[in-house]
Order: sequence, then structure tokens, then C-alpha cells
Amino acid sequence: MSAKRWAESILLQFPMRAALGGVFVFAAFTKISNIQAFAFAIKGFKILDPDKHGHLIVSAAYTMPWVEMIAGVLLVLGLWTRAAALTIGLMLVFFIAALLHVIFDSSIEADCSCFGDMNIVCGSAVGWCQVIRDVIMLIPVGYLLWRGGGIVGFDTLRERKSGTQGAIQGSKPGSAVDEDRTRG
Amino acid sequence: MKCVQTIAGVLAIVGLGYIAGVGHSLVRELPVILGPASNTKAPDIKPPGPNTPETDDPGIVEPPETDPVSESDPESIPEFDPMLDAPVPEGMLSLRKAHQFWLEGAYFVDSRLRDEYDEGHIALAAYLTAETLFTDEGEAEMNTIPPDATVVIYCLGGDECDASLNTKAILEQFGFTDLSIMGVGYDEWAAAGLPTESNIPSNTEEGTP
Repeated sequence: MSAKRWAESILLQFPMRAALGGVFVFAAFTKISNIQAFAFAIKGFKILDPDKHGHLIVSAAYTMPWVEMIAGVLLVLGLWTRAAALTIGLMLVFFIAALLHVIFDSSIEADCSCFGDMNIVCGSAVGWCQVIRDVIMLIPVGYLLWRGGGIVGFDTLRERKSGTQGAIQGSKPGSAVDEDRTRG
Repeated sequence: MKCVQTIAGVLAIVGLGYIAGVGHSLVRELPVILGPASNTKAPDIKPPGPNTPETDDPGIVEPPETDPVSESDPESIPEFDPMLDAPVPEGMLSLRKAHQFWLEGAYFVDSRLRDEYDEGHIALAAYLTAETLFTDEGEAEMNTIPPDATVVIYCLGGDECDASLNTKAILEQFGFTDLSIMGVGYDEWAAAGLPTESNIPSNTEEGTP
């Protein structure tokens, strides 16, 4: 592995993963600890009619934070990095669409509840600040999708292990190649 | 191939999240989705109506005629007072109007920090903020207020009234219909000599025996 790849992994990919994953884990934690508030927040966005689709609001209130949590943890660990990054990217796109829905419908005044009761960078009321914040977070998502999670992560171990196993399984038992690998 | 693996991974993560969410819902009471979404931009401040609290209500806020902490007499308030009639943001209550509501039996809700509330708050005001509303204590306190009662929310006032707006938004979601925000803060209320109380000696507004 070249020094360039190491440098990219340590200076770019790992910090991006840690920051993005950390933000999502924190956001998920604040929501999981107060599902009721998050359910009201989803309702406040007026995407779903609470009378007809209240069950979907409840379902989303339970599922979304856990998806955020799992994707965030996987991203920090560097396991299934591309899948975790794509999950987070899709969620961000959905969040941006929801925010725009609120911004362009002047009859709705919703609280973001992006981080539960806490406000990070932006205020609690939905506005362009949250859209910009989410768009900025899409940048590392795109980079990680393009370049992968880098060397510092469980994906490297997984790939190395599966690559070794695949090579062993692919070779005939007792062959010279197999013996070399097992010795090595 | 990598693309397929990534998409499969996304589906796996969503599936795991769904399973975790289902598991979470089994160990926790389901959230309540009350009534239609009502957090629209409609800060209609209704005039003080005949909203006198019911006498048999074990509720928390009942500004009574015999309020021991009341220091004010409506007759003693001058007709025009720069403090009482200080300009407030649009759609919010002036100090005079808020005091009038208080005298007519409106429920007051404090949305500042707990320490500030304990130090001193408008007499008989309840403590409800976005953070406490979803706790058992907060819900119990909120349930003592009838949803159709006139509720006046206050905090520090002025530009720092985000807390009042948050509390208002959440109370709207809980089905409260007559919510107003006091355009000035607690300090102005206290400075005007209007009734206040402190939690430090005793808590009189909780309604607990």
C-alpha cells in the first residue's frame, strides 16, 4: 500500500467517516432518547397526515433513528463503508426534500428536531441553514462513495480476509500456490 | 458487482434499523400522535375570553382573588404606563395584556431554564419546556391544564424567546388551541411589580398536597 493511500486514508477518509458517522450517531441518540418528541417533529413536517397515516409516523419515528445509528456506527468503524455512506446520503437527500417542503409551504412552521432538542449550527426552526448543512454533509458522503472508506477501517480487514479465503478456496488443495499462502 | 453489494448493504442497514426500531417499540410505550397537525403560522391572539379555571380542577394555575402571592391591584395600574405598554413583537402579548390575562385566570407557562424558574417566576406559572414536556413530570404538569384553556407562555422575552416558541409549538401538537406568548420577559414582569413567586421557600403552583 502506497504512502499516498495511507495519507489519504488518515487525513481524509477517516476524519470524514468519524465526523459524519459521529454526527449521525449523536443525532440518532438524541432522537432515540425521546421518541415522542421525534414523532411530533415528523408530524410537524406535515408530510404524512396524522389522522390517516399516524401508524407510519410512529413507524418512522422508531426506524429512522436506528437506521441513522447503525449507519453512523458502521461508518465510524469503516465496515460496509460505501453502504453506510449511501444510506446516510439517501437520508440526507430525504431530509433536504422534507426541509424544502416545509420552507416552500409557508403554512408550515416546523421544528427541525435534527438533533432532538439541541440545535447545532442552525436554530430549531426549519430554514435554509439546515438545507445548507445537509448539502455540506453530502460532500463527504460523495467522497466516501467514490473513494471508499480507506485503509483505516474494518473493510480492509474484511477484504483481506475474504481475499485470502477466496484465494485458498479457489486453488486446488495441496497446490504450490496454496502451500505458499498458508506458509506466508 | 460493487454497486450491487453497496445497495444490498443499504437494504441490510435499513432492515437492521427497522428490526431495532420494532424491538425498541416493544420495550417502550408507543408515542401518541394527537389530533391533526396544527403547528401552522397562525399566531392569532384571541382576546381574553371567559376562561376562568374550573374550581374543581386540581390544576396548577388558578390565579384566584385570594391569591396570597398577589401583590398587584388592577385598579392601581395606571392607564398608560411605558413599562406595561412597551412595544412587543407582532402577535405577542404586551405586559398589560398578559397581566389582564393573568387576572382573568389564564394559565401561565414558564419556558426558561429550570434554575431561573426556581429562582423566581410569575405567580402560579407552570414549568413546561420542550425538554421537560416529554418527561413524566412534564406530562403530568401539562395534563393539569385543559387543552382549550387560555395559556400564556413566557421566557426571557425579546429576541431570546425561542424557548416560548418551542413550547408553543409542542403544546399546539398536544392539542392546545389558545396559546399566546408574552412579548416581554419575566424580568419586565417582575420589574413592573406584578405578582411573582419563588420556588426556593416553597412550591405553591404544583397543586401537589
